[in-house]
Amino acid sequence: MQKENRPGRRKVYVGTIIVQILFFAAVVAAGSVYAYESKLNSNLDTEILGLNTSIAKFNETEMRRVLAFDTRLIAVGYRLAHSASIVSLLAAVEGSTVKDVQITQLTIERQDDKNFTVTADLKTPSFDMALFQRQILEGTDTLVVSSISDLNLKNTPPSDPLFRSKETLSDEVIVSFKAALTVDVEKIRHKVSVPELAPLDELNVVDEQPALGAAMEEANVNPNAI
Amino acid sequence: MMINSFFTQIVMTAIALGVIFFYVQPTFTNIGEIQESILLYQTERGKVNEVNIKLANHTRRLNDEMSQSDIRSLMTYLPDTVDHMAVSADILNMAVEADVFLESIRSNEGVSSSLSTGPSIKHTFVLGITGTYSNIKAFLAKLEQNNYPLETHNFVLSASETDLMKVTLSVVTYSFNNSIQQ
Repeated sequence: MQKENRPGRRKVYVGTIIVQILFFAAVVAAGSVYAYESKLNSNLDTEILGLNTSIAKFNETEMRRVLAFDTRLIAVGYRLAHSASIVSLLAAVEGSTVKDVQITQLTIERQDDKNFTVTADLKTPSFDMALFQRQILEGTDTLVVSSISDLNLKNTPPSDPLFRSKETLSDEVIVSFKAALTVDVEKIRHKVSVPELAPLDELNVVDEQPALGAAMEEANVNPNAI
Repeated sequence: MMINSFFTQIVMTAIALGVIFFYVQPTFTNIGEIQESILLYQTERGKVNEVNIKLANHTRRLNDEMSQSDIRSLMTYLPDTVDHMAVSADILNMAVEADVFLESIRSNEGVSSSLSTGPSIKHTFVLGITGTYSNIKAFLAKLEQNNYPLETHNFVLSASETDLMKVTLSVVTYSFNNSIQQ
């Protein structure tokens, strides 16, 4: 048969269609990524501008002022937390000293913010008293005995050179020793006394109890009396 | 038609592949980088805003919520500088009030103690006093009740034959070491 050559009928090849689709797709993709990139660049510019604006709003002077204030508060808090009352420490030493024992020299040194070291030169009229004093010191809660040293006996010879009285110690005996003590700052905290309250008469209150401030002051002065 | 010619199709394919490999693909990579940058800038901006808000809150609290008397008390307790002459005068007044005799007073320059006690500078005053035991205790109590710290760091009490005792003590006060903030 002879093929008919029909007018108006075109030959369409699959390859041509694929090439055309590929071409237009590439062009559309290029246009799209260009537009999207431009939009993203615009967004990035906005973000950079926003960040710069935020940074510009940051007030360095105020920041320094706040930081300095905070550091000062922390420093003050530290000092207050490690404050100690030397009066309470003296009261503790007083309370731990037996009546007939005499302190000839007292040295108190603040080693650091946690401890005090106390060195007391003590003078007693007998060994019994010295032993009792040592026992009292060792039993005290506030004072911790580090060492007892430099024990020294000073005995005046009796008038009888033959020692017939059998007395080994004269009336003028002195037993002296040095006591080294450690005191924890926690145990001698400085307590702030409450400001004086209005007189009770003005308030028309009849109460035999002492005012709160007076009680606290009293506790502060003599916290460890024996 | 010209568009359907074999040569044209090869050119179109080449252009399409060229556009894809030399423009679209690198641009995609670039877009990824820009997106990461945007995310990073957003995060950093958020952090800066957060700091700004916190700073504004702290500044407001400092300016509005704290009373001026509290701030004055704080500045008195830990001042920027210590006036050695004024502190010595205060100590003398306390000695007079406690009825002890202030024999000597010597001050030294401030020593920074940032390692042990935070950002503070130590100022030491060495005092020599004479008085009865109870008056010395009253003097020490006055030192403790001061509105700025006068800490006793060294205390040597020597008894004598009379009621009067001699005491050598070093008293420490502090100033704020502002240079740490710089």
